Amino acid sequence: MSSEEDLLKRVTEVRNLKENCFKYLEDSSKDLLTQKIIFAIAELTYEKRGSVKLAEIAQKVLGEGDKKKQDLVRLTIDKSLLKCGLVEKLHYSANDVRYVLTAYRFQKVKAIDSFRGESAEPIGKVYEISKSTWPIPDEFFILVAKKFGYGEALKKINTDFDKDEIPRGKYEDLIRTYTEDLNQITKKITEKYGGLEDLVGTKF
Amino acid sequence: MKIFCAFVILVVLFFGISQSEIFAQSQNRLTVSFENDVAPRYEVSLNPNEKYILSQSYSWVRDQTSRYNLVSYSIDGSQHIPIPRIARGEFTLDVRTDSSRTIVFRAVSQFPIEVSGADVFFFTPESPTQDNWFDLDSKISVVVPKGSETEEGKIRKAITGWSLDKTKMQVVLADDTEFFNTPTIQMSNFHTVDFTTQTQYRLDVLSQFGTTTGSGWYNKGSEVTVSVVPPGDFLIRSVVDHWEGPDVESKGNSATLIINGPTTVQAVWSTDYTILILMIMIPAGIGFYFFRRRKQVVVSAPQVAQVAQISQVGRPSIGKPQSEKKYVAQHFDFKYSSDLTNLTKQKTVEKLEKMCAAKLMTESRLAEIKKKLE
Repeated sequence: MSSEEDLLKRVTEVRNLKENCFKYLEDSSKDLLTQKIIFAIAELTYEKRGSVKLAEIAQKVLGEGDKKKQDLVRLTIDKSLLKCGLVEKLHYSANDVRYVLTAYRFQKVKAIDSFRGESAEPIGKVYEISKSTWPIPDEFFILVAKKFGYGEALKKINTDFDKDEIPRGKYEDLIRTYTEDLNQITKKITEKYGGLEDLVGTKF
Repeated sequence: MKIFCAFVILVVLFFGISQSEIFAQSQNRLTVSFENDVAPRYEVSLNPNEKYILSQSYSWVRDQTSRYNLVSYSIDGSQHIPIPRIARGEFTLDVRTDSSRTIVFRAVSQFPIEVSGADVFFFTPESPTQDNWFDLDSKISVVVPKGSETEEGKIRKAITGWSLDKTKMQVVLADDTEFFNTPTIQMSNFHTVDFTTQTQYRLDVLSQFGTTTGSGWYNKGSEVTVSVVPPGDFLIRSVVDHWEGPDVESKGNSATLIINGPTTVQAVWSTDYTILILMIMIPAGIGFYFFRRRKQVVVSAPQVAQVAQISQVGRPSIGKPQSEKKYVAQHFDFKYSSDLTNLTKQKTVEKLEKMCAAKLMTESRLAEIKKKLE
């Protein structure tokens, strides 16, 4: 799976978090290092379109990326965010470890232990990390915008033809060309970014 | 007494020959061995009075993921004789027992390839043993039909990706080709090939008149635009009134719909008499106009000159040269296409700006994307 595909999968996934872990996302934790790290990872991942290094996180959160600051960030991540399943550690090589969020939408759940086994009951709405930091490829936005552009062009062709402003031959050529192009764009969006259009909410 | 002596001599002669023969027979042995010691060598005694059938498995285990398969055999050092390549069962050979024999079998290593995710597939070249096992170092490819219909003409499974040995899934592009061939796979080990599929539904676009576009196979949930190009009627025109089908949004000659199952959409036509009416009304109107003008001329003589003047003024604009008309048409075509391209670009950029305003991207990213579009 490519890095782009991996990030897209994380964007479309909703992850369950127990109450003690969900608190890191709540407003009450906005001054805590844990929340700052989460949002820093989100922003850096968006900028780089990939997982981020410890030094980069430390630099963004603490303004310095030296060894001491990195250790502080690493400890915070290891002790809380990794355990909770909010952040994932990716080992690229022995000396190259990077971090990425496990998902961009989280559901607070209450764990229930009963004789039927363990289950989770959702509490409240799904929490969404700001969409402006979702690592969605440029291609997706271009395709969605082009889809709109071609749809508008088709509307104009039909309107002009109804008003007899374009001759039949020209109309037929244009309709065929623009419909084919629009279908190609729509197909690519569905195949490569299935469901993302609804999720991101680009249909306005 | 003579008879007794003769009997004794006969008995001695008989037993003497038999024992020597038996002694000779016990020396006949069959030695079975395998090239490269792919199986243990063994020996058996041959009895000249009995038929000996040698039996050897066509295939036997090499290790957890490979096997040996018989290829040929040689008797007493002669040239190798090929053995039919069969995966299972026993190869039998009628061995002559009149003297000692040596049989050497030749076998090759074979590795299997497991294919999942595709109902129909085949290998090229096919397996020598007619199964999914291939000789060491042979190069093969797995071939799958890109779409196999589970419900004829309605639902099909389309191959969308594949992976070798559970590694990176690779995309299978949807194009006009009927089959997908994996790149060459070298059989020096056990391999797995996994295919991913997507259910697709058939969309049929029907229309009583004109030419339709949009019929084909689409993924579930995809948004499709269909259209029909109306026939070139002149006086009485057929125009699309609306589209019929599940959740179809009609937009004149085109329509959009979301594919949620096998779908048929149909253009419903109505008849437009506008041109016919105009063709009747305009000459009638012109005739009526001139009739009235003529009537006025007859009544008032000074107006004759005025009428002539008016008609002279009007004439040049009607009678433009043919080449000029053609130039005007071409110029219009070019301008219209160019305007349309600009409109598409403008609307595309507008949409990007809306997405930026909705905080789906930052200003700097919008600028980057706009650059890419240019």
